[in-house]
Amino acid sequence: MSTTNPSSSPSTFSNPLNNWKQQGAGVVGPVTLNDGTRGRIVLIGPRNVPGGAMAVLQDKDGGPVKSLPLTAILERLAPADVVAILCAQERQFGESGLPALNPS
Amino acid sequence: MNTPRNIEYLLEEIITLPSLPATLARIIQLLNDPESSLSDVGKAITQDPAIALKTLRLANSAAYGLREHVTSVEHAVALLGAKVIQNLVLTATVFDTLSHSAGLVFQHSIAAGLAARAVLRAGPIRLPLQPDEAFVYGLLHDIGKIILEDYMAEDLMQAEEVSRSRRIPAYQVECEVIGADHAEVGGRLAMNWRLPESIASAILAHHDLSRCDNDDSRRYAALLNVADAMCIEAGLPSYEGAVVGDSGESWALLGVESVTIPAIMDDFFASMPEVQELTEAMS
Ligand SMILES: [Fe+2]
Ligand SMILES: [Fe+2]
Repeated sequence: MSTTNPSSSPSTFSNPLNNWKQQGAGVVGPVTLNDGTRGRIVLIGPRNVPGGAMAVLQDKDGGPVKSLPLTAILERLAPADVVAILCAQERQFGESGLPALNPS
Repeated sequence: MNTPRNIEYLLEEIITLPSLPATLARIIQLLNDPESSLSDVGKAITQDPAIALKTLRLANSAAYGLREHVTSVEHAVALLGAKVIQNLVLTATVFDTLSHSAGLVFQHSIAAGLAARAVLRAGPIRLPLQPDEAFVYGLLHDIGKIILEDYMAEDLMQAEEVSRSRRIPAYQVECEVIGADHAEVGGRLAMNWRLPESIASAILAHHDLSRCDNDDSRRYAALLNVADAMCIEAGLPSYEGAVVGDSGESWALLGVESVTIPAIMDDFFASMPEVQELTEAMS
């Protein structure tokens, strides 16, 4: 698809996911779960690759850092944030022809 | 002294809303007339060659999924039925009347139609709407923007510039800069064209659900609100550098939970070839 390629920015509200950053071959953005747990979303491959989107979370009570696939924490995220994450992943790694993400 | 600008002032002094195109008026009349037949509807469409051509192109596009290629409007009417045809003609008419907006709004509108359809397809959702109808709602949601582009292009661009620099959605700035936002203008157009109340109020409230006075109409507006947000996140906004609003309340009103979002987005991503196809069909 040859869509016009505007430089739009992802979400700014429930989560500050508007600042995706390139990190090596991946893209990283901060995330806050519904229960207040903070962490990062790490995008490293397309939707159909298991582990293509991971969440690296720091427990609120200071427990160890956990790495979980996005699918395991869907219920703990707001719908709008899941939209933002999946769109970023598709724009960075997908083949549907969406305009590129251009992380900073 | 500056006259305070509001929607009434704009519609009186600056903007002339396009009148309901004759073909669409005739078709709405026929579809509401129990005495008329589907063949009368087909004939009325055929009398307007530009609309007939676009209706046929749309009917043959993947969005409508017909198994056979149709070459006559009558055939399309028979296969798709009255309601779908009314939506098709409405779609074709809107873009025929306002087709000079070939930029981002046009692409964004089509993408929003596909996004709204994807939300409905993932069901169950608290809206009595078919996916095809949801497509038309999404397609029309920013129609007011097309009118503002026509009459107040500079003010609109200024609002978008402020939106980018202050990182707030453009509709919040439009009231300041223009005196009304594109949703108000679009809602008025839909009312003038006597489109169904659910469409007019959904357009009016798609960035501010409090403009609806009951939960039923709020849910239609919520559908447009989430479709708009999906498009911005997907990189298909109505203006460059668009800032997305908070769609949390809208998802909750629709009863869509986070676990359903991947299915909705996969459907939306898979429909991307249709953006191009429909853009061509309607240009
Ligand atoms: Fe809008
Ligand atoms: Fe929009």
